[in-house]
Amino acid sequence: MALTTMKKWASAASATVMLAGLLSACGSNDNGKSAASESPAPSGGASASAAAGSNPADLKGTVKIWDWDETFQKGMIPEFNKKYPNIKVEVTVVNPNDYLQKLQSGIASGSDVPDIILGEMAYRGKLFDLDVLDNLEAAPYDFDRGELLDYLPPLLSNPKGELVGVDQAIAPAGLAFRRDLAKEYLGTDDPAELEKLLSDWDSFIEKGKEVKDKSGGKVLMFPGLGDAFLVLRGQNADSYINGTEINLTGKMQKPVETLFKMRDAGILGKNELWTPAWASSMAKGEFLFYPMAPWGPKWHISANDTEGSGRWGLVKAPEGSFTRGGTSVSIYKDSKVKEAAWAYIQFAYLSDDGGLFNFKTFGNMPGVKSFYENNPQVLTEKGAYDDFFGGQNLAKYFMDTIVPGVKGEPQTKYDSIVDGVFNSLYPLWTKDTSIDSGAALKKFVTEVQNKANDATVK
Amino acid sequence: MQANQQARTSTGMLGRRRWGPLAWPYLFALPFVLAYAAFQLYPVVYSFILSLHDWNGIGAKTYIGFRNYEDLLTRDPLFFKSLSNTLIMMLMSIPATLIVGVLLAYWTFQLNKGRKLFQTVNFLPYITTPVAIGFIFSYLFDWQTGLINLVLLKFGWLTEGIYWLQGEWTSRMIIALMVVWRNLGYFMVIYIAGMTAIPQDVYEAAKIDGSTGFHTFTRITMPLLRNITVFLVVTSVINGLQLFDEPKLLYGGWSGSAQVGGPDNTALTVIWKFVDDSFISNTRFGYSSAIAYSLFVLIVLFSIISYKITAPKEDGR
Repeated sequence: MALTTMKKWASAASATVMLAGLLSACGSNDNGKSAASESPAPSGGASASAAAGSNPADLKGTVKIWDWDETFQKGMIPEFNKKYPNIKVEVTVVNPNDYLQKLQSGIASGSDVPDIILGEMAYRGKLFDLDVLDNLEAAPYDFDRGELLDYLPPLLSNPKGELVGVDQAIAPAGLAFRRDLAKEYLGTDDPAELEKLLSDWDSFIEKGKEVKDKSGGKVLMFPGLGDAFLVLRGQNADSYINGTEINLTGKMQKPVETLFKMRDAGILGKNELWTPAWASSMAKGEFLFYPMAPWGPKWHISANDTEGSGRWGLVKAPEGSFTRGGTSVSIYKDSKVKEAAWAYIQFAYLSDDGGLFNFKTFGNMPGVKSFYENNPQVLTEKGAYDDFFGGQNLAKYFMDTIVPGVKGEPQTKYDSIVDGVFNSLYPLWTKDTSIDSGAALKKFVTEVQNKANDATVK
Repeated sequence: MQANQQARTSTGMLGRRRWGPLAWPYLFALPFVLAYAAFQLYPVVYSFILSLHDWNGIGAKTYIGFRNYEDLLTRDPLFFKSLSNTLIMMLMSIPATLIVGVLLAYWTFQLNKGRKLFQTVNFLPYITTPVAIGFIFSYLFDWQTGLINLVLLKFGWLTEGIYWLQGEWTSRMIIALMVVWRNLGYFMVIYIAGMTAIPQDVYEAAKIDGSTGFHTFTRITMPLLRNITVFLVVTSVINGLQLFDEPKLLYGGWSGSAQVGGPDNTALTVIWKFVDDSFISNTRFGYSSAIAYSLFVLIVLFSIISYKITAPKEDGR
């Protein structure tokens, strides 16, 4: 009896062990793997020699960079090595959600820290606050912020006002729209006409009600409160955090009020950002507008509406532009290969050569004025995703129509708290329509105060 | 040491023999002790020291005495909320898992056919990675695309889907359900192991005395499984206070969305708050260490209490 039970147990246990192996294999992914450039270097700590500006071939060293966009780096590094053959660039793929945590652990333990550090908007304020990035306007870089597009410096400065990063690709945003739905319900799919039709939020809301009635409630303006708030919040770029004082009400009152007006008019869907239902709504055609920056055609629209080539358009938002996402590129202050790292940053994100490759291959737009002055053709030639957007010249529209209305917002360590709190509150506001904008704002302030308990929130 | 050496040299073989048996246990224990000191003791002591400092992980540490604890206990409403959330979810999940677990075990134990299969099937959730469980449940309960709502709508019981994940109580219930679903197989297996250990002659004696079914279960099986129950209660109280995977994955599963704490922080657990304060909303390592230490004290307290309540009295048997 005992023996047979033992046997049974043994076989059950071995089966479970095998299954455990299978299941855990399913759960693992490739996020953690590191991909080196085609000629892997034996060690990462080689020192750079010779100052930037002399013969590119004299610069030597191994530059480590953490990025989530492996495709970009795999394309850019060979281009870079044509000019700088003796600098090796090693890429480690790091998920943006884990980036800051990984960086902090690396710095705290003194182990693995990249020379080039990326700052996605979601955690940029906290990154800049850590004071681990070099001032790019000091030696050995001697960069001048005047070279950047005018709205960028506040977005790339730390609390001391030092410029600590350059832009990976600009992220001014407008509204992507479904051309077929716009034609059917708004009477036109011409961006210029739409700009006039939706010049301010009041007319946007009125039109939204018409669209809702005409379509029998099947087509609404935005997929959810989260999308609408991205626009409304971004349009009000005034600095609202002064040291440890957070003037949340001053900053958020107007955006929250407009948001609730839209919600109560019934022109917003009930989707949360980046959920499966939200993603599939793009192909289904349930909503007219999606806030979109230049990274959007690749990562946001075409990724979710794979069959949608030709049926999308881009128009600026009512009452002004805003920024959505975006990533800064900085140099670690204790890097041993600062010159080599700067050479890579200059080439990949600031130079004409790198910029043209980046623009043509990935549709990314560099954040320096010189690129557009030296290469006026980029605004007339066809870009990578223009066909997807019904032949509209996206780069030209972004530069000429959307960028002039953008204001950059200084980033502080409290911004991720404010964003986090908003993200946990808007699903509640979606669900419970008895909450009005006054109560919502009060709740917003309390929750931010709870999390930022070393600050004063009003 | 010196004396030992002297003894060794003066008495030759005899001394070596004496020295040997004395040193061997220490020598064999050394790898464990070293590993324990490096990977357990040192972090434990270090994080206590850290909890007395203000530190963002990179800059200079500032010694601030017990102010982190003071702030935590007097000025942080979220700490108490997270603690009560954790306790509520434990109350929802632990008794249910225990009761259903023992019933399933009893039933499975009586099975003649398909017992192995039934055991394996029930054990599967326990070895599924928490990430997968998080995804499964967030898909199930999504208010638009979720299976539960689709079924409810299909049968016409509802006109609009329920926002399962955004309700104060529904969110906690779902997390408790995840915990129950995940641990049920484990509880069942432990109980079956306990039942296997009960000698058959006790049952035979009971049968001769006329005891049957329910009576046997309550009078013989359950009392003899008491130690197992104590083990399960104490370990699940310890694990329950450290609840993190389930709520975090239920709300943080989607790429990009970072909803900490669920709707209105009703699903915020102590460990989630700890992670949030060290890596997500803030980078206050000292403060987080204070949270970790307070939780440690609470876990010790609750373990003692749960042991006192469930353990058999000395003369009870």
